[in-house]
Amino acid sequence: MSEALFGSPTGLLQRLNRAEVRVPDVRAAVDRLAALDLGPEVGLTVLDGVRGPMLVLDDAGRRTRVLLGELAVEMTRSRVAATADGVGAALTAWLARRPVPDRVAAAEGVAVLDWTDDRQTALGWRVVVVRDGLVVPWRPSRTATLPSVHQTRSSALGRAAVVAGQLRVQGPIGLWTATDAPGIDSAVLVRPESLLAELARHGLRLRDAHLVVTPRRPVACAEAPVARRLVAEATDASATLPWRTVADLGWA
Amino acid sequence: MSLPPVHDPALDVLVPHWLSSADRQEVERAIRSALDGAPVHPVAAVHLAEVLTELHVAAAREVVWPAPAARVRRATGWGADVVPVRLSAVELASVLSLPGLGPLAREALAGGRSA
Repeated sequence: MSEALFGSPTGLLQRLNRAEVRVPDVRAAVDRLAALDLGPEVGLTVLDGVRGPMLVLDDAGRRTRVLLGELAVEMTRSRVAATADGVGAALTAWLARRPVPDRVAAAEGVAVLDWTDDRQTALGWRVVVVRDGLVVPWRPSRTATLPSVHQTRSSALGRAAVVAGQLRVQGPIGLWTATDAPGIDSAVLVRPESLLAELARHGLRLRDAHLVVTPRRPVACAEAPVARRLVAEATDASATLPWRTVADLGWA
Repeated sequence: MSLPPVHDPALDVLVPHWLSSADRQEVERAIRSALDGAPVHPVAAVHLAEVLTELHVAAAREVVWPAPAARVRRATGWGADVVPVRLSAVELASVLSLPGLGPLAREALAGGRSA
């Protein structure tokens, strides 16, 4: 789930207007954000350390530390406008993408398909949490035990099996979109046979069903030649796989 | 005796033709009436069936990956119902050879918005 650290990239005009985000800008934005109600278990504090001021984010037992200087450099690199609004929006976006606490993943995690590598060539399952409409991946914390990781993954597979969605048949293609939350469409593939049965109920019987999977996007299902046609010339990365091989995918 | 190579239409270069909803309906109508009417050469019938498939594929692409076409529409000012229909050269020729194809859809395919 690679996404810009501070939300969508800025437009060309803002990129041309280069300005440096400095530590006091970030610190002011932290103070403004910390004054808001971020949720019962979320806390933002700034500690002064030997390497400079450090932002400490506590969220349901998971603590994340980052130097304000590092955040400022990353914001400058991402062409964040060095204004109160610009830095504030970037910090809010950063907070929305904060690491998912183990406890939250265990309680709410859903299994979806995601890229296992940066080059986006192989798919694997990943536990994600939907936070304010944003799909955030869970990476076990350093203190998570192996049995707890297995338990969280197993619960996430169970939740994925009951994610509600909508099937649309477009000629020879079935399109599945999750209706519970945007971006968790591939959860349906924990039970691909039910997707095929649903397609058959809609009058589309596939002999050699192939799935076209794009993480966070609706899942397409069609015969191999139609699936090839669908992905030919597509600019977005996707994976086409025979439906039976979904059962062999590991964890991302 | 050797078999001819299996022809896979997806391996041909597919060129986008930007068709509105009305254009696509007209192409579909013209193909269906051609296939239902007088006998069509079997090879032409295969190409026409591929075009029908592509009309569905084009709609499916809009559901799965809407962003690239939306960028083009924003830049050109085309309506929200204009989507790229990707056809190979033989598929395009098979549609243009239909005498019953309406002039507007023909124009859209032959020149028009074709990128």
